Amino acid sequence: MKIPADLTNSTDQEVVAWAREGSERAYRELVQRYQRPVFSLVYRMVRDREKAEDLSQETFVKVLNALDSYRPEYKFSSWIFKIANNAAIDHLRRKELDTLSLDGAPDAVTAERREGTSLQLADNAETPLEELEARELGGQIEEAIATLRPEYRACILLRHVEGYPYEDIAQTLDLPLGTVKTYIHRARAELRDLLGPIT
Amino acid sequence: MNYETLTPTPEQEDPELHRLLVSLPSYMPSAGFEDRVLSRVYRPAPAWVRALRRGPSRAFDTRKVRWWIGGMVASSAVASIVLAIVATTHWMQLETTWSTFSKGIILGAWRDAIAITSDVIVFAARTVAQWNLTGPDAVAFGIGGLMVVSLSAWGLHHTMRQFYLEKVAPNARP
Repeated sequence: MKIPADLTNSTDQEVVAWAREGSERAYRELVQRYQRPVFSLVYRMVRDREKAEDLSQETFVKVLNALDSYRPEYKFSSWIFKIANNAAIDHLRRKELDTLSLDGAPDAVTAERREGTSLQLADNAETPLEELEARELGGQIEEAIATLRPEYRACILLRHVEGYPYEDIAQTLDLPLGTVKTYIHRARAELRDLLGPIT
Repeated sequence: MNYETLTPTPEQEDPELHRLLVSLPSYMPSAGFEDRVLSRVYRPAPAWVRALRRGPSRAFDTRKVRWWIGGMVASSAVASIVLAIVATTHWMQLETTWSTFSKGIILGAWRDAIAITSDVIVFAARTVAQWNLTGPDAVAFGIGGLMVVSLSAWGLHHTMRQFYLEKVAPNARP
């Protein structure tokens, strides 16, 4: 099948089929279509521009290198958001492990190792980069979203920002439909509490 | 009844919160993101190359390829018949031309090629013989030679290997 000059009107499934045939234009089209929503989701999850960019890049590399395993009867967007969300959640879990070790790593047997792996209380002063990020994500709404649990955050962003139906969110996040509805309900309640005067 | 009308939209579920959330800006990665991603993506070879890799019998098993092969065979057959007719009707003339061509050009070129190759081999052998390497120099030369061969082999392997493919769980549910 001949690839049209303009791919913007083609469906994801068509573009993926052309990418599987080795078309570089099709690969570029997929990146262009999803770089903004994927990066926005990951950035709001991890709140660190550099890390968000790394994780988004990993997401695209994983997805594009595994196009052969994609099944066209399912939404491509669900697949890419799923991998992006998993990458962000994994990063947050690792970060949590790194920062919650007050007395050093559990396997630290020597004094030096305990000291090396113990929690270093951070200076409250922000670096210029952190200040910039805080300003960028500094709105009250962004701050409120950041206080939500990561699972709630992903659900509420996919529902309201990306406009996903509950079924697609459940499929994307590998959660039961009921759990997704509960998460979104709780996330809304928390956001309403936090944003009371605005809403 | 239309099912869609029964499913509330995010806006219907919580209009005020929805208004706030959709007003959030979307963020873009830094410039060159696309190129950075694509530089790490293994793109499959064109379809005809992959078809050849799958096997010659399947590679030629398409309507288009069959037409091409049929056309080539037919045109080759016609060309062979024409050549045979020309050769039989002008046999003496062709023999004289071929004799001149083979003696004057092909034989001369062959002799020159042999002479140049011999000169290069003799020159290389004399140069190596004059080096007169002994002890540590000979060891260093040997190690250097081995390193060149090893690095060349490694470079070739590194260049030719395919990009490492990470396994990704498909999105699909059974």
